[in-house]
Amino acid sequence: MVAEPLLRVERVSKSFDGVRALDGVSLAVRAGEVLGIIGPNGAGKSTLAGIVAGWIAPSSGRVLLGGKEITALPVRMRALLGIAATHQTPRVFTSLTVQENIELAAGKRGEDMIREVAEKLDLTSKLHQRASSLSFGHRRLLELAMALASSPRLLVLDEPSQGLSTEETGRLESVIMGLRDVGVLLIDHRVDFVSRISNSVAVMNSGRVIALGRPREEAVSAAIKRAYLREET
Amino acid sequence: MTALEYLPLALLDGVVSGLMLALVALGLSLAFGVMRIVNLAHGEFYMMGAATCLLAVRGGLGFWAGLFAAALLGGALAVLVDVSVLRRLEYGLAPTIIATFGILLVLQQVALAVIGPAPSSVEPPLSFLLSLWGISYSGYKLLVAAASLGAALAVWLMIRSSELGLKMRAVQQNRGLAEALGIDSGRVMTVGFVVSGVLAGLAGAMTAPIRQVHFLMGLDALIWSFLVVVVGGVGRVGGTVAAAVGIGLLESFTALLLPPTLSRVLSLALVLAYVAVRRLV
Amino acid sequence: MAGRSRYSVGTPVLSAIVITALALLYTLLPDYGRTLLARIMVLSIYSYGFAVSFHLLGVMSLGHAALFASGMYGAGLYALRSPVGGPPAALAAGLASSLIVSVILCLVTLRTRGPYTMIATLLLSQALYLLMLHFNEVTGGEQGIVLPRQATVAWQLEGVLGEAGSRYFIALAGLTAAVLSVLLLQRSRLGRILLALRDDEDKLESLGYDRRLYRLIGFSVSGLLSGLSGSLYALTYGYMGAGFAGVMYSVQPILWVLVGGPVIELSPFIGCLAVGILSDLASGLVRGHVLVVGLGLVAIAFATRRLVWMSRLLGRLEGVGR
Repeated sequence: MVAEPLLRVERVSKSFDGVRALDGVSLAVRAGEVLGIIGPNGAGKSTLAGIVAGWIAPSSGRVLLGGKEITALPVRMRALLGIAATHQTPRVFTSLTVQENIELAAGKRGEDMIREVAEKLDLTSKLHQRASSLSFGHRRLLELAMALASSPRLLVLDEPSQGLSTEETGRLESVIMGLRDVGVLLIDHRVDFVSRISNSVAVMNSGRVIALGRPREEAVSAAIKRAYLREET
Repeated sequence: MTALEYLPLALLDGVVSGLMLALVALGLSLAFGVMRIVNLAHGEFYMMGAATCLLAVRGGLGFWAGLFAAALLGGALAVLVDVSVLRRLEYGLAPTIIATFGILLVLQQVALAVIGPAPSSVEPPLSFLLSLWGISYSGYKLLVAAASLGAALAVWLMIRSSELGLKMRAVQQNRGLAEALGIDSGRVMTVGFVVSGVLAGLAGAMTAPIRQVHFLMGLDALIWSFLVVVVGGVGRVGGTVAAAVGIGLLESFTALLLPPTLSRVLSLALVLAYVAVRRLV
Repeated sequence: MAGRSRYSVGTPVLSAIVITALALLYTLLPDYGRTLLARIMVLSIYSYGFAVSFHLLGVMSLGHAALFASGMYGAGLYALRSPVGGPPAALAAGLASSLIVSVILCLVTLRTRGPYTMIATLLLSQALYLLMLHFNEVTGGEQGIVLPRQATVAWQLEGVLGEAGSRYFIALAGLTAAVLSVLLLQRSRLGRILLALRDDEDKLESLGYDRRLYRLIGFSVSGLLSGLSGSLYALTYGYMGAGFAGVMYSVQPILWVLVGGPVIELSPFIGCLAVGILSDLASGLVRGHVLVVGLGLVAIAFATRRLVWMSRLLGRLEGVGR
């Protein structure tokens, strides 16, 4: 018997003013696994992330977390159920220091959590720096630190490698690979990066999932080529 | 008369007072819309217009001269404030708020000195009645309503079809770009502000025979204009007029039900409810 | 505010110095100066109340006079009607009234932003003002009500400090409470949550915090401080009037805070002091002193133009200046 996946997206569609951003997308993420979403710009990846995180309401379809329907739940409730997200442009609290940002995210989880998370993301030396003075890359890492500090069951990462240096990307990779029992929905357009760290990959184009499988599978590679090449012509 | 029979009167009163409000609010809308200026002294421009008209009438020059002088004064005050204060403050938001509040106080005191603390009335230039729906209604009020509507239309046409209007819209949308295209944004903004001053002065003079002239009358005008502008949409003539007439009707109808102060409270509560429901951002 | 650590020792120390200086100043000032400063100190608590809403919450309210007036009338009417508990009970009544009104005000502003918050707060406070005018048998309307001397705190402490003295030190005590509240708030977890709320309230929600709850808490602090000012005013000066609920009185703290600067622990007092002294100097002239105040404000506007912090501060206001 197959265990209920952590996250299930069932035939989700979304239209914005008549433009179909998502068309009947279905997928699942298991606890402890990373599902990578690849696709060219405009494929609907960020919209999907938004719907799972709770920022956007789908036009139709369902989202289930641990078997429970969360489609209509507001962002705050999703946070309480263990969903944490990062955004394409990192969102952090600029008036607060790095430490304070992580503290807020950690809530009642205590001092150790903060130190642990800061270490993982190499932010220890910056703990007392104001978030507004951080570089783009460090802001991204901070946002990720905040997501981790909330002890999530499901992480939704939207283009987490964008703007990161090679070293920072490496750190990002090791953090994600080092997660235990957390489901990760990883959205990125860098195929090599996603293929390296995902257990499975969904290829999206024009709002649809055109292939789903292991990163190096034939079908997946072919789909990627189709999606990206078509974008280039 | 039963309450129902009051309805046509309330309707007319509402539309008339709404249109009068629209004229004052229009000026504020222009100032805020084109120049992002929060002119707290706008109500005082209105008041000074009314005061000028009062003085002209008292001085024997007649209402129409007063009306003309009021419009002129409104424009002149606007130029003065713009050139000597606002421009030098580079139209920064906080300094503008502080400075225009100071100017509000100054103008109130000037008016106090000139026309005294007691409310005064002005005789309407034309006293005639029109028979509408079984009631005799003041012809002058209808004239003022028509004039306000006409002025609103003129402003709308100016914004949409004239070169000045085009420049104003350009400056409003993207000042830097407008400058790069050779538009003297400083001039455009001053002209816009002058128009807003003229409208305010005109409104003050026109409504002087209807409402009493008092040196503190500007505050109310400011509050209600502000409400109208935000509810009706900044810089949008149609929205401003619609919102003003809506509020005028609201006030008028609630006055049928409740004593004056309470009817005001009810109007405020209803506008509040509208804002809360529409939740415009 | 960038670059200045929120936890710097500087501000608390400076605040302590200012408070001590004010206490010592009492001995140096003539009676007139004492009266003026006492009044300024009481009103500056209102300034702090507004500053919490403006600086910490990023909310531009045009209705704070309602909070001041409800504190004033809550305390004043209680002192007038009920002998139970004396001034402390009256103060509690004033604070309770202002808390109720601030909750109402806040509930309305939960759904609004920027200019709409301004109107909503303006409307509510105007409504309250009009209601006060309407029920003038209770409130005394614009003329107001003068409390019998026995009801005022000043009278109660007169034996110890004299009338001017008791007013001065009660005002100073209130001011100290306001400064302490703000200092503590800045350094507390609640203060950080409020800052996060101002920075990005959707992000805060995504971390599991209820924005409405925190906005309510923050606004209540603002309301309580404003109400404290009103209550103390009623209880030390023995007067309450509907005029304190009007629009002009909502605009006053905006001026004080804008003039005073970005340092939330001290600027509300400084701004109130500056404008208060200006008004007072002007009233030395027999006629047209309001005119001088008006011109003075224009001059202040020119002075503040040079300060970069002003635009940064205003940039933080939600929906305004964007």
